[in-house]
Amino acid sequence: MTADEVVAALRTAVPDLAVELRPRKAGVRAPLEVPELWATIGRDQLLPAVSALKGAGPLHISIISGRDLGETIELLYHFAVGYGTPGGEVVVTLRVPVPASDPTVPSICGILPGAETTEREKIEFLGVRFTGIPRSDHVFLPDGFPGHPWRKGDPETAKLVKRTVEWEKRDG
Amino acid sequence: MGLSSFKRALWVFHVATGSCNGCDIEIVAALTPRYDVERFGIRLVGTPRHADVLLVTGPVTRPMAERLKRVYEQTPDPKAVVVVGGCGSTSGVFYDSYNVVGPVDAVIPVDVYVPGCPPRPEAIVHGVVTAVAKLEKVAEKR
Amino acid sequence: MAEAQKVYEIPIGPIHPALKEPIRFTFQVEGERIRGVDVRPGFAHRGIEFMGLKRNLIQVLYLSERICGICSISHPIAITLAVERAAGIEVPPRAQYLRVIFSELERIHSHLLWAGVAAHELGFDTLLHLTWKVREEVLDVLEELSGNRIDYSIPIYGGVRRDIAPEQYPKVEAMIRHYRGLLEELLDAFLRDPSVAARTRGVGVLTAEEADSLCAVGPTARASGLAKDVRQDRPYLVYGELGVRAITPRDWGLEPRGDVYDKAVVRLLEIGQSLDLIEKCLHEMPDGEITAFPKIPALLAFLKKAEGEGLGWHEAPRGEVIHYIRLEAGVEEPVAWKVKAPTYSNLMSWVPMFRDQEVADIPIIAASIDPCMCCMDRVHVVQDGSPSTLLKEELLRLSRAKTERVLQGLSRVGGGA
Repeated sequence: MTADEVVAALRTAVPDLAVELRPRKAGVRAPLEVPELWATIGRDQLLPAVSALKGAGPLHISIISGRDLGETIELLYHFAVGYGTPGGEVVVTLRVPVPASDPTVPSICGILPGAETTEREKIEFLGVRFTGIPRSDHVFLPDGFPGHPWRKGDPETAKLVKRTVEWEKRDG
Repeated sequence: MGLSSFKRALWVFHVATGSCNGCDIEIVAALTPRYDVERFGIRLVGTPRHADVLLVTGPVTRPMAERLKRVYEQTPDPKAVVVVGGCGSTSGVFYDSYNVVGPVDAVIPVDVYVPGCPPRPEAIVHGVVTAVAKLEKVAEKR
Repeated sequence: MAEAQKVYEIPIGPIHPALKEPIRFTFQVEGERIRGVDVRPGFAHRGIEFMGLKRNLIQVLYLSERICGICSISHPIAITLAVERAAGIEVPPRAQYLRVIFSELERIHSHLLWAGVAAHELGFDTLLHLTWKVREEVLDVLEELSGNRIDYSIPIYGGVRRDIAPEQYPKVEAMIRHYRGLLEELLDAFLRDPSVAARTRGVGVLTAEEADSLCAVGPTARASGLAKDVRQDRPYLVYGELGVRAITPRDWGLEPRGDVYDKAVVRLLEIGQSLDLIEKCLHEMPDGEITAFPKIPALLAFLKKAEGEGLGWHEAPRGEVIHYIRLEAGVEEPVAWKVKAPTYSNLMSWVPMFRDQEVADIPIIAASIDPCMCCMDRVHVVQDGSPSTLLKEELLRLSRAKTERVLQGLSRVGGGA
């Protein structure tokens, strides 16, 4: 699997997609380069893009990470395409911005069932909604947890932080 | 305190309330041949109802607090609680988490604290032995 | 008979008396057969990432080490690689070799730990004590090199905190020789033993297709025949040059079936692979600096100015660890941090593994992915609405009784098999 093949596959789904290649040097004596691709896509392009990646080779989702930017919530889908040959994997990160007022994304579980845990995690931590996800109950947080801990300054989460020692005051 | 003060075999129940596994594997290491606490009659049991000592590891997470209380209540008297590790003693590096209700002594009474991240098996054995001394004092008073 | 069977719900957990972190399983059982399972983790959830966003990067490094006490090299390696990538820090060659040595030492200790736990769940406590006794040797070496048995604080952004001194080389080499001698004995005890095979063959099967679609990682995926190993597929540090190859049951001369036996094959053979890697590193490691930033305040000042994002990955003993981090200039804290531990990816593989298995096999199947959280203290059998409690001891007794039955069966069939 080469980076070019993956870019070509992505562009069949999302024409003219701007893909940033960030090759990563690994090694000391005879360093090799591990291809890392980063691209920003709209949420409506997510399903075709993931299908294209799946078509390109064995597809693994490492994790979906995310961040609250205020007006938008940025989801980063970290994939690895093609394993089995030494140095044969291409790391692909798809950045999907969604508006905080309507944080809805299509679920990719239909294409990649292994994404369920990480999508459910984003529901509880960021308050994102996934359409078509098989299950949406909590994974890590207690049932009925009031807030979304990764939302910026989430008041409900802040209330739950219970510190026994305010060491900053003591030091001052 | 010599070995003569062991008037009874001590049965121990281990509860992990949100620990990182570091202390837990050291507890198991204490049971295996290098440290072999069974030669002192200290044994890990599968239920709190048979236990004399509770070994608790980790900061207490929100869902575990109620369960820890329940385990404490199920343990027959006289009993001793030994907290293993820094997080259980003070919440450690997890002091400002939304899902941690506090160190173990915020939930149940604690008799012995074994500090360390994680404590060595020798320290854990010493902690349990200190708990024996407490249990014997309780027994003498009766 | 089967048509009259009712399906019962059995919740297990979340308190486990022996080793691991809490988790809750809810099984649907029909007689002795498991028809479905629901896994509910989160009892050990401490909100690590949330706390990390409020601390400076050096504090975050130590926090990452306490994600898991068994993977206390793996998480720091992944986060240092991510931060080095985001901030553009070059790691000196010697430090790269040292990181590999420490992470392979960790793999040996972790795989031996698993082998012991697996033996315990099957009812072979002698084997538990044997493996945990020999595991002490690698802990001695880790303590000699790092100063601690668990939580080693070795990787730091830009390198490692401790070098291996010339007088320590012989100790590491002695350990390698010691384990090479022992490995054959361990392989005999686990893989050539007919009773272990009888209890683990065909139990907890994860097919290659399931492992692929559920994105399983590490030995769990490799046992199903997927040659998937981060060290091989996306090389980092010096793994590309060391020529790491993903180990599957084919290396033991067997077609992969993805059962518990195959998972044991992969883990035990990886101990030998790790020994080879450590030896090679000791041999090839160049002299030189071990960190790009010998002074912590300088490192912190550099990181405060850094801006960028990066991924760092590592093949932990249980599989792929990946960290994503984003730094912004002017703040000491990361603005985004996401951690993925291997059990996270393997969580969903339990569902097909438990399907149609026996209740007595619950302990070994749960242990077979080497979960970083696991719990089986109490089994509540809900029967006609009135719960009766089955203790973990009872579950272990069921598992051991099955071993006894299997052993009797073996002696009847083969005599000296």
